[in-house]
Amino acid sequence: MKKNSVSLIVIVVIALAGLSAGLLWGPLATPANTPPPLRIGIQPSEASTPFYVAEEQGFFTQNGLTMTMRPYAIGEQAIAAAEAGDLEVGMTAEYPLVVAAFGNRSVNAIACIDKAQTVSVIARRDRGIARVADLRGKRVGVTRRTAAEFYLGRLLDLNGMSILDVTVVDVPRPRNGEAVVNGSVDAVVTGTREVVPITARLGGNATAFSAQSDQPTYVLLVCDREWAAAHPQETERLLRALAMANEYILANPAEAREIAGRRANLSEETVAAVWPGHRFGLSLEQSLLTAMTDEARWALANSLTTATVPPDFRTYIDTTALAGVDPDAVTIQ
Amino acid sequence: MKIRTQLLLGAALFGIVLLVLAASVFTTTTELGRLDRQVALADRIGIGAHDLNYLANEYLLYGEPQQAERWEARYASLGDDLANLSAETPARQALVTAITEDRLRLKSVFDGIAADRGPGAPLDPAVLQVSWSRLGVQTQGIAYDASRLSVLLHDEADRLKSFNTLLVAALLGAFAVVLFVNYVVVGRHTLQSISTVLAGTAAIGRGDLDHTIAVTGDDEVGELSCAFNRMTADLRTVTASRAELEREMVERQRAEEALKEYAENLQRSNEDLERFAYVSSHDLQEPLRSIVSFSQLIDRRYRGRLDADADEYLDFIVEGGNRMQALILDLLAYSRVNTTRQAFSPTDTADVLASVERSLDARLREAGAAITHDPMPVVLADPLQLEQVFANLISNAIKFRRLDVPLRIHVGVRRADGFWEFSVSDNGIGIAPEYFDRIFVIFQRLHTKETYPGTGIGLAIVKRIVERHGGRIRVESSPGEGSTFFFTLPTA
Repeated sequence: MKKNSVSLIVIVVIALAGLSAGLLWGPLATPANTPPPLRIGIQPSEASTPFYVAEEQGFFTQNGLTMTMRPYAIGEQAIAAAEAGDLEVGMTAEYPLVVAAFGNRSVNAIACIDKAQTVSVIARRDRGIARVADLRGKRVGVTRRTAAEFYLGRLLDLNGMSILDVTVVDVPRPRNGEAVVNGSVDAVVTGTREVVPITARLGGNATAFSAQSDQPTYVLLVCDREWAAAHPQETERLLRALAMANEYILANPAEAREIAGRRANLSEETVAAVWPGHRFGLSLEQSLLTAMTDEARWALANSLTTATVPPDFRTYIDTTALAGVDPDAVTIQ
Repeated sequence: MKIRTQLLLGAALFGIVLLVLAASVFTTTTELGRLDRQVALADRIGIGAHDLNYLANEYLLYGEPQQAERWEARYASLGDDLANLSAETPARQALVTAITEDRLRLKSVFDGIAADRGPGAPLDPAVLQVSWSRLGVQTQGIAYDASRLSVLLHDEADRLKSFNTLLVAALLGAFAVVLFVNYVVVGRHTLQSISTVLAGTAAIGRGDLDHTIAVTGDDEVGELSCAFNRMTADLRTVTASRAELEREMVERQRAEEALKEYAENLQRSNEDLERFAYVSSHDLQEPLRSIVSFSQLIDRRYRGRLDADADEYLDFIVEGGNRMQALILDLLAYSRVNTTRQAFSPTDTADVLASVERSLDARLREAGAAITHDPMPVVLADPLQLEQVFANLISNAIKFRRLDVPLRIHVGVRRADGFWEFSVSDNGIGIAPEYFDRIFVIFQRLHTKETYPGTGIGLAIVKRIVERHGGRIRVESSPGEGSTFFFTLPTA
């Protein structure tokens, strides 16, 4: 046999080995041909870290996406923008979606990107507040129609009070913490990220405790139903990019925290305080339905809606995209 | 590279591949077993979360202490399972942390419910609903994360299996490639080399010693080729030597044949000469006898009637004629050694010696000689010629005796190396060593005929007779101290 033949056989063997390796290791990601522009409504906080990471690490580009991120103070605004077509994807906690469901809004959650324990009550000691029970009769600032409203009500319920035992003052975000600093409210329910700066400003006059009563915040991505149905590839690519970002966050926590602090304008101390309260990861799990239904019942019990029964939240959750990316992440029934 | 080295390398490579495969299989099996146990733990945690949800709800409904105790026990066992989970990757670490935190939150929720609930009347349905939801959120969260962990572990196991499969396939593939390349590059080379050697040996076997086997490498086959080439070179040398030897043998054989032919020619020539000498001496006798007779007749009738010179001339003629006649007789006797020879027969040398003593009795007595001898053997010889030998030697002893001492003659005999060696010793005048050879030459004389008469042919005849019997003759002597003639005869 001539040497050329031997070389050819060796090359073929190596090529087959490489092909086998490729088949064994699974298909490679295939970037799209035409990147569609997506407008994403995010909250300018550490909860948006997956978006920041995906953008900075080029995961959107790798998945054939171009992105425009727009800041929205609260989820309700993002939901409205998505429904109105101003956004393709909005970011919200589950409670605004509960409220939207009561209003028969045409939006669906396509994934939960974070389960967070990052809502706290910051109170002024000079107003006699040292623990939850001391909130009775006090002016408590809260951004209405946000999860903070539910957490405050649940916190009061579990401590032998109700929302009627306090004076709820609607304080708009993002500077809702300012109200407790200037003393217009005795306490405020806000993001834990506000604890460090507000406490610093109040000196020894501030106290803080968790508002969530162990119930997590489900940070959801919502889309207009029609848009989501018409753009399955875009939603799936978006979730793939975020999945890659979550892997990066797990593998590079220090870098991810640096990105979060820089992009959300948070101090290192603040990031260190809030980071343990986040569980970044794509999911659509059964507990989301349980939590939303629970919250809906709470809203009904507190006459925050004209509805009489909770909505079927399953119809507000579209598992198609996430099932295409990570089928095992979908356990919701 | 040596074939032995190639084989050793191949065996080493095979051993390494086997070791790696065995290590891979062992490691994979061990790791898969560990992952299976982790999966079982994750599944049990998921089941435990549902159990805790059920037990909590049961306690919510009935408020019986045993339900709280069972919940606490199940909570503890879930904690044990959780403690046995290993968080070796960031993803697993995140899920284990999440489960751990949710478990603590579940405990917090349950403890809060238990503090409010206590034993007794049924709870307010609104409180019950909220509690159920809160418990559900936590337990479902634990179950979800446990299922995610299980899936993650399954994925790791699948990747491990895939990696192991790939590793085994890659190793086997690489090994197969090495074997194939080894066969193509090394094996074929070796086989071709062996074929070359076989063809070369066949050529050498056909006698082509000029054939050189091509050395195609430095392996054992190459060494074998070199060895064959050295062998053919040696064979060429040996063959050349053999041819030279054969050529020398042929030449020697030819020389021997030439020598034999020359000897035969010489023998024939000698025999012709002997016959010629015999015939000549025989035929010369008659005219010489007439010359001598008529010379003597002239001498008797005309001595004194011519002048003195004529008388002297006649004396010369008569003397010359007599001498010529004696020479012819001696020559005839010399010739007769071979021409009138008899067949050899057992001969008692004692009888021969006795006969000689009798024939020389007068001269012996005249010389006052005494002959002694050793015990004489019987030999295979021509008795007349053997008598001629003894007679001549004893006669010479008498002739060349010293006049101042009595003549002593002794005939000795001894046996040595298949021969009888006879010796005839006397105490005569002796012979100078420089004449030892000359005395055996025909007609060679050491003395003038006036001092010792004779023709000088006696010892030549003796020598010829001894040699005819296959023996040798020599002399030992010193002037004035006598002589000893030794001659040998083969033993019978």
